Amino acid sequence: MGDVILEIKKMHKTFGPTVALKEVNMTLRKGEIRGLIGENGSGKSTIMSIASGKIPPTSGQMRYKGKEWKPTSMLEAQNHGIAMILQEANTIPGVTVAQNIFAGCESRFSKFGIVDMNKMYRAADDLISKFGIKHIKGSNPIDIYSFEDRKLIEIVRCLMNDNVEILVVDETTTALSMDGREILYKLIHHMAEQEDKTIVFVSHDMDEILEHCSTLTVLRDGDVVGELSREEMNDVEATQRIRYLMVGREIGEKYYREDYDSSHTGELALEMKNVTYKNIKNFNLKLHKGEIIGFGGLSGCGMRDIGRIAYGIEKIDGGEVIRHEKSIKTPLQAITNDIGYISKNRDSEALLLSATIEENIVLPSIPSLSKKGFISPKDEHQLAKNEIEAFSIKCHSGKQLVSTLSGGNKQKVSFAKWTAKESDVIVMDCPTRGVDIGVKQSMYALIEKMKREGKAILMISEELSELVGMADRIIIMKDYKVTKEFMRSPDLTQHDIIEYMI
Amino acid sequence: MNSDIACMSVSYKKNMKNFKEDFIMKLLGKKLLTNVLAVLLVLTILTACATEDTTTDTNTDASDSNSQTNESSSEESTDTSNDETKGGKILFLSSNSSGAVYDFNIAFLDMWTAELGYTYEIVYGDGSNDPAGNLQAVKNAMTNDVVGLIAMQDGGISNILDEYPDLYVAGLATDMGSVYGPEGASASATTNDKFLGTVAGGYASGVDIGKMYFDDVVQKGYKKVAVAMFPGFAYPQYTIADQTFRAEVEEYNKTADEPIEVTGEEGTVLMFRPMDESFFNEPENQDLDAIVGLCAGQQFIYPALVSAIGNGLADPDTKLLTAGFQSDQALIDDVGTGIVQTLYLPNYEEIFFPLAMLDNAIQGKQYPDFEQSEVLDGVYITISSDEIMTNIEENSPIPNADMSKLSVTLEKGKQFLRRYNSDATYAELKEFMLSDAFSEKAYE
Amino acid sequence: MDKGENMENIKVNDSSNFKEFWYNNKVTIISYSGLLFCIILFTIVTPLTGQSIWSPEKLSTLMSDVIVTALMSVGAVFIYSLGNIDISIGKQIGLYSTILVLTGNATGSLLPGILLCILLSIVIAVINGASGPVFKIISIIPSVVVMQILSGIIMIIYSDLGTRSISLKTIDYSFFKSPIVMVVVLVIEIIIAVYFFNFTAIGKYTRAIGANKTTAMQSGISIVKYRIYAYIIAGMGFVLAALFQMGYTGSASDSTGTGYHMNVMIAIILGGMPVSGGMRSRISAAVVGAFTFSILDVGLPLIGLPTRMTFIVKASIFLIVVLLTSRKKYGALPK
Repeated sequence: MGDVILEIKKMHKTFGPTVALKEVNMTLRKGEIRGLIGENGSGKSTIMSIASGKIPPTSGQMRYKGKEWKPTSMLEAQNHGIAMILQEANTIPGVTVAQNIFAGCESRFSKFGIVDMNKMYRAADDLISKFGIKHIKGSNPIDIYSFEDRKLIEIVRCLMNDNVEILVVDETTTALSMDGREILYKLIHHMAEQEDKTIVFVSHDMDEILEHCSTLTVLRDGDVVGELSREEMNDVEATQRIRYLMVGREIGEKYYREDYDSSHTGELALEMKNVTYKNIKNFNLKLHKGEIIGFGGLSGCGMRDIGRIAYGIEKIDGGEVIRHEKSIKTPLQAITNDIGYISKNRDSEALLLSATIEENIVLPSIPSLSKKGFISPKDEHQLAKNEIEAFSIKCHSGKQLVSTLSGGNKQKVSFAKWTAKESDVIVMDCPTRGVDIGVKQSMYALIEKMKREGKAILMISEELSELVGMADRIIIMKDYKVTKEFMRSPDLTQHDIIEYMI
Repeated sequence: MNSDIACMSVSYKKNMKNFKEDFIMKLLGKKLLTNVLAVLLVLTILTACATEDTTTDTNTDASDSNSQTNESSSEESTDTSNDETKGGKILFLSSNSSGAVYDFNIAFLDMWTAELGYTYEIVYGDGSNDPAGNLQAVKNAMTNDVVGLIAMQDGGISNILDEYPDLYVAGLATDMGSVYGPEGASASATTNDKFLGTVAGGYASGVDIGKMYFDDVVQKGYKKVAVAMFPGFAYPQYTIADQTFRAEVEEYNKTADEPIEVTGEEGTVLMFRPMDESFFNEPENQDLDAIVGLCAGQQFIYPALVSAIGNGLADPDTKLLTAGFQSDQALIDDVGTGIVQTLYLPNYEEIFFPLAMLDNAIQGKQYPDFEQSEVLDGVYITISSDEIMTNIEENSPIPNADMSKLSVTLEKGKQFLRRYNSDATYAELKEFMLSDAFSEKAYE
Repeated sequence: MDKGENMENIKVNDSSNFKEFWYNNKVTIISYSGLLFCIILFTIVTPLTGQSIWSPEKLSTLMSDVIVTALMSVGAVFIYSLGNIDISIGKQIGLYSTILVLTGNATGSLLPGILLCILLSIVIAVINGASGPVFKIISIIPSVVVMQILSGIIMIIYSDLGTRSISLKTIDYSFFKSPIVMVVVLVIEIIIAVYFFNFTAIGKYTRAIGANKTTAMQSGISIVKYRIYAYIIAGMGFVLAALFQMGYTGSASDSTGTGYHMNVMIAIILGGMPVSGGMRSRISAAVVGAFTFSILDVGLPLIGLPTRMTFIVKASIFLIVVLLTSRKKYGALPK
């Protein structure tokens, strides 16, 4: 690896009373693909935001290319060669792809103040094809492209100039499709290995980091707690060790299920018969008591819809969803028949952010709490309290607003809604998304416990390792059709599954 | 990866800088603009309200009033023979908030209340004469020192009387239909001795109105006439006037050489909106000699008529007989010589009646011969010629609230107030109110 | 990863308890203080410039000024909690008042009229409540339609009658003019409303629907059903309000109730109701707001403000309250 290109010394950052970075030291070299991994709140995004000019530090120094580095804006940083691709959408809607790519640079293509759009389109197309992207055209309005494609365009924009020395990829891959990710991986390897540039890859996806990074820095609670070299990352125990560093304590070996017992009672908990909905045709499913069925696939494969249909959210065109010989057509019917649903969109669908923890937890249980119309606040409080304790939801009172909770705790509340209701069937969509490792671990334990208690679980997930680790049966979908079913087995790997997804 | 687009870092930087400046300017500009507009909005609202309101001060000092000086220059009401004059506030429930009538009333009250030692306050009556609305308006303005109410609207009078049993109430420019009319909601006011009667805006009875227009039509020799009027549920007297008019014509036609034709079965109703030109499209309304306008005709009929004449829909000689007064110069000039042949307006100076009745009652010096409240007819000023109009313009206070031209001067008026003249009687007041002092002859 | 989670390391200490209390209850605190401020202001100033606002006459004026608005607003809380606005409230009051007078005169008793009004209000509630989700339109539209229809009906009634206002002939309505009766009725309505709002599914679901319709639906709440219930409860409040509106003068006119939906909106928002409804809605918003509104109505003329300027002051205060209380991150415009 090459010379030092960026040095960060004693970086300290606070947001009001919150300390985001305590005292971080980091050195980046040319040709390096540096992974930054950490839990939510570890500071991994914060440190790179400071380096790329997005936010100012509270104290600390940086040296870039041997000189003092104090960027005042992302624009300034980009001019000097440090570019950052953000997690959120960062393209300009309402204009073309080319206009997005060359935003601010229009005068390159203009004569006497009039921009030659065709010239811009051609330049855009050229640039895009150099990245190996085939399906995006410079002259198209950016709005017709999916979120993933727009991310790609953002990447192109960042690298439009030759002068990028350090590229920061911040949690970007979650937004990208398989193809997109491949393109990105190819790009960063090319930049690092062929052009001696530096990549900083911020993520919490262990597999990705282990595969593509040359070095790894682990952060926790605003401090660097560990640095791993490539050899150390290749080690068999690497995952375990990184997890330990991230969480700060020994979380034990157990993460996913350790048994391979995919038996269940044989009693039918939920059945979907010949279900037809939009592009889904004649879908059949039998979910049994004590069974965990996992659904996997790329986004848009239809598994999300299956979950919603099972809970009665969508009106199907044909077929039936049956439980206890009753047809389930609305969420209310689902709930009455002890089915619960945890939506992937936690903040916008699963929870009432402006309501208290208590109010959220008891919401599905209100009909059962209601005694001749009257609902006793004491009963509500007790019910919620039980769940808060059972889940160890971190709060100082049940009357706290859910919006003040961290992602992990919010997810606990989402779960608690259904345990409070004592639902027997739970459909969960991406149940551990955005949740810290410690909480994830306890959730997997809970799911396993539920299985033992005879509950039926339908788990939809984008994390293959989760499916492999937890499900009795894994159903893979692609283009609204089931492509393959896998049974739980110690030999099953993610690799086996992937080819049926894409 | 090579990029074959050469980008001179200098121009790139400059573009970014321009872009940044541009962006910031736009942002600042937008913020600034929004704030300026918001401030402007508030300012215009405040200004709009302020301009109307130079006269709602409740000041007893006459030198503050905006009326012109008048001949009785007394600043204080010290020349009364009685040393315990009661003061207090008079509420004026007005049915308009601008215009010639409003300006006149304000000026008149300014002058007279100062003289008599009262203050006054304008209260805006409910736009639809809703009893509850009128009551609420009075309630909101009510304070301990209110002693009397001059009401231009009749909705809710008995409610007001019930609510404030010590309040004296007299009417202006209204026939108090809800009090005196058949099945009136405020009929209980007739036996309430705090209710002192009213002077109507013209004839109280629709029959008299009808006859008045009939006489005019006959006198002017019109042969084909249409009638247009305000809706009957708001102005029941107009319905009666219309019917009377037609009855009179029918009677007349029995013996006349040339019968008069009145178009339609009943008057065309103008639902509080000006007449539409299409009125003149109707076959029965072709070649009219005149239109009888039972409404404020200059506002509600005149424009359509002028336009129809201009379009050839109506005969250029079509005339208009109607009521009301608009101080617009063009309209003034038109009266008598142009389209409007006769303009009937009640004399605004009739506001003297309620004021006088109130003053006597408040001072505890009611007329000895006053027994029962009643509706007095308002005396019309009949403007039927250029000459009369000129007299009005020059000699009457009506067009521009010029208090120096009052025919009911302070001196004159005091004759009818018992605190100045202990011999004054109700009969004399009534005679005065119905005399030529309130017709066009006062200004010749 | 949710964006907010970067700031997860919230240090919990004493000051944050206060901050949290403030944040949760900011709006209520501001509106109560507004009312308190008005009360103090007028208590001090009005005796100086004339008549004290606490004189019995003025108090009873205050009560009669507030009662209709308060009765309407307490009912309307249910509608506003859904995040909706109802433009038809004014004309409902107008129609109910008219019906009460007409049936009162026809039958000699107010009871048939009240029953008829209740029936009508249920029909209107179904229309206003169900149309939104069933036809997938914003709820303000059916309320505009209802308003137009009621407007038309009222016009037809009055032009058939040939008059602009009608009044009770035989029934003694002095009962409705007593301030004591007003206070008692208002307190009873508040108690009933608070019960439904806070201790039954109806109130809880109404707020949940206003907070997030999708979450509510996914938690098993039947949106159409509970919207209708909410509107029905509100409708009962409107009938009660119409009773007192009519009862004060024993009359109704073709313009009774005009603009009342604006009074409700101003009162409720002045009292601290979030503009988009949801979990923070409270009954107290209606009461506090209605009283603030009326104290201004009654007090401002007492301190010498000409009656036409009271509107400006009220509008400015309304604007200030809205600016202070409605800037929410999750806020959405009412529908």
